[in-house]
Amino acid sequence: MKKNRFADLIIGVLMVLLGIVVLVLSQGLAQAKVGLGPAGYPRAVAIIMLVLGLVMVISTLAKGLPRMTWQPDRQAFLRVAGTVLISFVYLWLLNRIGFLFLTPFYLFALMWIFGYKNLKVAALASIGSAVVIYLLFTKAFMVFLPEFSMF
Amino acid sequence: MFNELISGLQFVFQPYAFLMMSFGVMVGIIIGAIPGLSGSIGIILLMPLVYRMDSNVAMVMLCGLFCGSMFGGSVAAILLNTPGTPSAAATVLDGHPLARQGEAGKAIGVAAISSFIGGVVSTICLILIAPELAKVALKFHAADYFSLAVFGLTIMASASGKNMLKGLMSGAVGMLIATIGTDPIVGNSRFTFGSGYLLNGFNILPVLIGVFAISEVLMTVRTQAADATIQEQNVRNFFPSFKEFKGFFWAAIVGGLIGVFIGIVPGTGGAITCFLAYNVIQRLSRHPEKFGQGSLEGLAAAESANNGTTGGALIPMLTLGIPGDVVTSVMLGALTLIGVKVGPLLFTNSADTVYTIFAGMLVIQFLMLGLGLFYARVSPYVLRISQKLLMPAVMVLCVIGAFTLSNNLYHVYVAMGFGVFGFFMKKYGYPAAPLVLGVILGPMAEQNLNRALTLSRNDWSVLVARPISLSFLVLSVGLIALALFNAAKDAKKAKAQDAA
Repeated sequence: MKKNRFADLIIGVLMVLLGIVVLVLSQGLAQAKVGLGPAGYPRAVAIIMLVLGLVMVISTLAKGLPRMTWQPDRQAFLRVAGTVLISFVYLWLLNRIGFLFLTPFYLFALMWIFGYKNLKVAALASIGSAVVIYLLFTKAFMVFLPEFSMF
Repeated sequence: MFNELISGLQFVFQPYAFLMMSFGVMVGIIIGAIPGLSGSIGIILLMPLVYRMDSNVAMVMLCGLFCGSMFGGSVAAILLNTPGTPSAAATVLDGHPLARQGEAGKAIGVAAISSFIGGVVSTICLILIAPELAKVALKFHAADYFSLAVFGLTIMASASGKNMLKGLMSGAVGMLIATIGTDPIVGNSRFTFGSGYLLNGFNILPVLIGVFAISEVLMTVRTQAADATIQEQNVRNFFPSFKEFKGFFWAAIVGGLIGVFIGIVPGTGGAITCFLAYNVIQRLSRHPEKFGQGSLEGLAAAESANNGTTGGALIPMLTLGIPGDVVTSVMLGALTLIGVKVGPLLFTNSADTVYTIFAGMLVIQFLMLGLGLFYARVSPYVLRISQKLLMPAVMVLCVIGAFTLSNNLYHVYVAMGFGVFGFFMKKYGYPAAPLVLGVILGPMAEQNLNRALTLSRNDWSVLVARPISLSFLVLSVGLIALALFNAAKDAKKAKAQDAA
């Protein structure tokens, strides 16, 4: 709980900063004589964000900040970062290699990151799931999925 | 009304509609039974199908999934001692003790029968209440709609977590996201930074996929929790004796009614309702001492209440466009995507759609009872599938869901971005539902506030001049004041704890 207070403080500050940025950016939007105009609503949202961010900062400071003893869980961080990184690489390659050929590797990598120990089962499950999902969507549901392309 | 309901029944019994509705119920039961997945994720995973369908078929399929997931959660609660969905949290209290006594089959049977009773009660209430509420909502002016949107956001924020301030912050970010793109008033581009992709703003589907489904996959990989172990269970003999049925029938009826009336309040949902119904039934029971040790009344109350919320939650969604809980907020996003405009005009302009939903909800309860008992037999095998194999497949389905929106990867990247954002929100206790509601209700709030101000020549008092608008605003201000008061109280308490 205490370590979340640092996060709340940072998020509160970010919220205030975002509110200020939106207020500044909305100055460049067209103003209306009657009604809201394009600038009116974003400005109102920015003010709400500013107020909420300030309340978060003040209430977190009022609780008092403990001494910084936060030690992140390195393994958990690596697992999440690895999943995100592999997912972006998968998306980057998807139009080039195609869904059917690429997805088994992606699934296998994710199963490994998730900590599934039996690699033989994981390999079979990766290939099986990819083929079933591909056939289900392309043949039964008529959904277009990226195919292998050399160009 | 009766004729329209018959037409609705004729529609849902057409082979294609009936098949897709049954498919929705079955998917809902399976998804609901898997801890970590929920009805909202189920709707997201079915999106590639939904926007290729007739809107009425899509709606009954989604309703089937909603009801099925409510029941499905109870299967995991009974067999694994882990609720499949938050709505089944109270089912654990008496369901798992029954399973430990070797009565897993009976526990699932009572859960299915009670869910059926709760679902029927809630559908009857939906049919009776929704058209009347829609008539009232037809009298709403622009100012009332704006205040309603504000109220919807504040109440969702208040109900979606311990810290309402975080819910409000999440809602404000959602409202900000909704401002990106072409503004709905004069058509100028706003916060697009010259990007052609951003001209249409962020589509609701990648936002939903990201903050609900991908973030959940990332949370699971973070914790890398061990799979729940399932004991050998005799999942047979589903039906209770007539004496037992008489014993819990009243609890299921009362639980269903509690579910409906709590479910109508936007932002509540099954998780709150099931505990409330459980407590009420325990107080009214002749055998309160049996609660927590395998009481059929307790199990029936929890299960009928969470299914009772389904019809209840659909009432504000269909009549006012304000979702009753997290699943209906995702459903609202899905309906927006397929061009179904919910709100009071739905009842006058598309009465066939409304009565198809009513008829569908009735038939779904029977399907849920039959398919639920069928699934109960195979559930011990399905529940043995490791989450470590399942979650990667969910990730791939998320990619397909976002990709099929326009057959390009832009929306998948957006979904992935929102997934990372949603992960941090979950990690630090910021609820996702108000963010989604902010994205959905933002344009409604902006357009109606603009209309109200234009008609009144910029007279802001128009917002408090009308009793309906004033009531919504007073309630919203009250909720926000409560949030500020609680924030101050928490700060005091935390400081005292730190000092001690």
